[in-house]
Amino acid sequence: MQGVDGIHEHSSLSSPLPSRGNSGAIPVIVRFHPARIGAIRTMEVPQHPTRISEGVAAIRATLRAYPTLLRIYWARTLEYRVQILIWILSGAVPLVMLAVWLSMAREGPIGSFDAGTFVGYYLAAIFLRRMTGVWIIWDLNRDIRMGGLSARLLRPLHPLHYDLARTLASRPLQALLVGPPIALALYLYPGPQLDLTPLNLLRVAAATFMALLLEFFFQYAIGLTAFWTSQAVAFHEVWFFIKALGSGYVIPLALMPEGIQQVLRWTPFPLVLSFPLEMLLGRLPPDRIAQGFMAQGLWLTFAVTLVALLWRLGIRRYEAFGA
Amino acid sequence: MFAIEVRHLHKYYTVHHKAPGLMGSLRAFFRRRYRVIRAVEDVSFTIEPGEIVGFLGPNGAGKTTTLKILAGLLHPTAGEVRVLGFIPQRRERAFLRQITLVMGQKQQLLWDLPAIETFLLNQAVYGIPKAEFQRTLEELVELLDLEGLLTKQVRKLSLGERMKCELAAALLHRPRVLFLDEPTIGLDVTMQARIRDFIREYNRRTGATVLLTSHYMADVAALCRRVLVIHRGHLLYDGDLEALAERVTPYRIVRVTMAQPLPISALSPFGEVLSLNSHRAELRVPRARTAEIAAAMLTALPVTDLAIEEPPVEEVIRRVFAEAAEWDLEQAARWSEPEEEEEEELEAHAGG
Repeated sequence: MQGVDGIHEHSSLSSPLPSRGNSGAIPVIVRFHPARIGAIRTMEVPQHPTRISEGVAAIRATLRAYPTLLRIYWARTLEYRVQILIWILSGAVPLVMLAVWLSMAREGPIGSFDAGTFVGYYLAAIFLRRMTGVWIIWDLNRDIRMGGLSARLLRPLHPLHYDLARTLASRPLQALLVGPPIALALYLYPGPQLDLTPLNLLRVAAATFMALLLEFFFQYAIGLTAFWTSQAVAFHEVWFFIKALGSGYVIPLALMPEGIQQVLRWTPFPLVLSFPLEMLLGRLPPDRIAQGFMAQGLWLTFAVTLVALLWRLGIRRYEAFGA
Repeated sequence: MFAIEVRHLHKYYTVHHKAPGLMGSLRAFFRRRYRVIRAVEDVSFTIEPGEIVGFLGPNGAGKTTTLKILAGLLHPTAGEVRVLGFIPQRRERAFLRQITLVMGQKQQLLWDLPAIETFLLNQAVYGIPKAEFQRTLEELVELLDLEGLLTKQVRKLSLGERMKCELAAALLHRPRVLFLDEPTIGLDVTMQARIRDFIREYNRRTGATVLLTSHYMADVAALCRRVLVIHRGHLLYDGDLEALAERVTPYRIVRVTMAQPLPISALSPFGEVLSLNSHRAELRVPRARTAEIAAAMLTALPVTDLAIEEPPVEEVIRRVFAEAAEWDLEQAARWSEPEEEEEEELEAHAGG
């Protein structure tokens, strides 16, 4: 309760500690310096910039920070040499699948895929997977649950940008390490047909970038469930498993039963790998390309909205454990 | 306008707790039992711009929770908080650019890169103009003696070196309000003194407001005229450190040097003899009678030097916490029902 003269008293809260400025029988804690009395009543709030101007300023500041963010995370990427090795080794899964399909295709083409198509498909898959693979869920999960998020929350940049910058900054090195051997293999093996016209390469690059953003925001959304549950990583396992099959990473979608293809068309999974991959192989008609870009745009909007929503709800629950 | 205003702040956490062992885990899997932790209860205070205030309390008192709320990391359960007029949990850019929170055990430095990289990152994130960044950095390098440390990988720095770099990283944007949570934890005495001097100097140069917690009373005594004592989420005291000392320690220390060694029996009539080392002695005397006793000693004993001192801060704080413990007992006596409930729970568990 608010006493006279702004002195703030708690008679219900008896304390053995000496009180200031009170000689009554009931021990009372007087919490404010005499000099401050009265002023506590008015809590002034300064004029804040409007939401829009604040938003514009935030975007400009964020963009200005990006070159430095990218440079620093590029430097950090180079520090992790073992991780680089793992990138290269973990890219071997499509090679195994390729070997399986090649032995089956010896008799003749399977569906619309002959041996050359398989080689082109899986080698390009290795490269595109390196360009679109995102590894943030574990860090995000740990940061939320162990309180590591605190240091980032204190800075005037949304914590998401550190992860996004880190994700983007590792691409050039991965492209540099995985690109040349893949290119060489494609050049040496006779038969794979790729559509390498400048326009198509540009389209593939755009679709690949969109795929990377899709992966990032979906994974970020899954990571944000760590605000509510300690099972965020388990959710990701489910996402990862469905994605491995639904994105065409393990089996080309064109070889799956028509029914499954129909279902997958309504999910974001084909958009994170199969779409740019089949475009690179020149297997997509123009209307499917346009549809794909549109679907990527819509799913990305959905994912970004989801992240914004989960963030807004989750951050209220953030208890900064151990931080 | 106040730098910091806190009015009727409450922060409750819900935690689920489980009994140990396999059965406990299984029970917790099917039926979670939640308990509310009242980390901060009805705390109010204000801090003027430029003040250095010490935040004292035993572990788990609610100090860090309060600091996190003030820095915008946690949402208050109830009550109002303003820092530089901002509502912290909105974490507006203009707010974040003017505050900093340094947590002794947490780091913002990028572990695998030299500290200068984190500094440059902060320059970009805070949008510090190049010239200003250079000037502040030079100042911090001088004040904290960082020469040669900035280009070493952070993971190769010693704890003290890292702490200095953390402080520098947290201050590059010249915050107007500093929240320091155990800024000297784990550091040796020299380094503690150095950080302490730095905080004082930063406050003097920039007029920044500082709210700090520390387990080292030397920190508090050297930096803070005013202290807030918090215990079990309740603010028990807000005022001058000296006034607190006067109230909780109703005695003073008289230090005398004598012309010749005296036996303890010659001194004990004047007060409680704390130490006697040939010529020198330390006595504890009732605060109200200090002058009278000192005068009597000067006439009765061959005194060559006499000094009257306040009891050490550690003693003051120890007493505050001892009294806080008494306060706990009183509270427990008043509100005995919740405890009984807990016992019932335990019994039920033992039976099952």
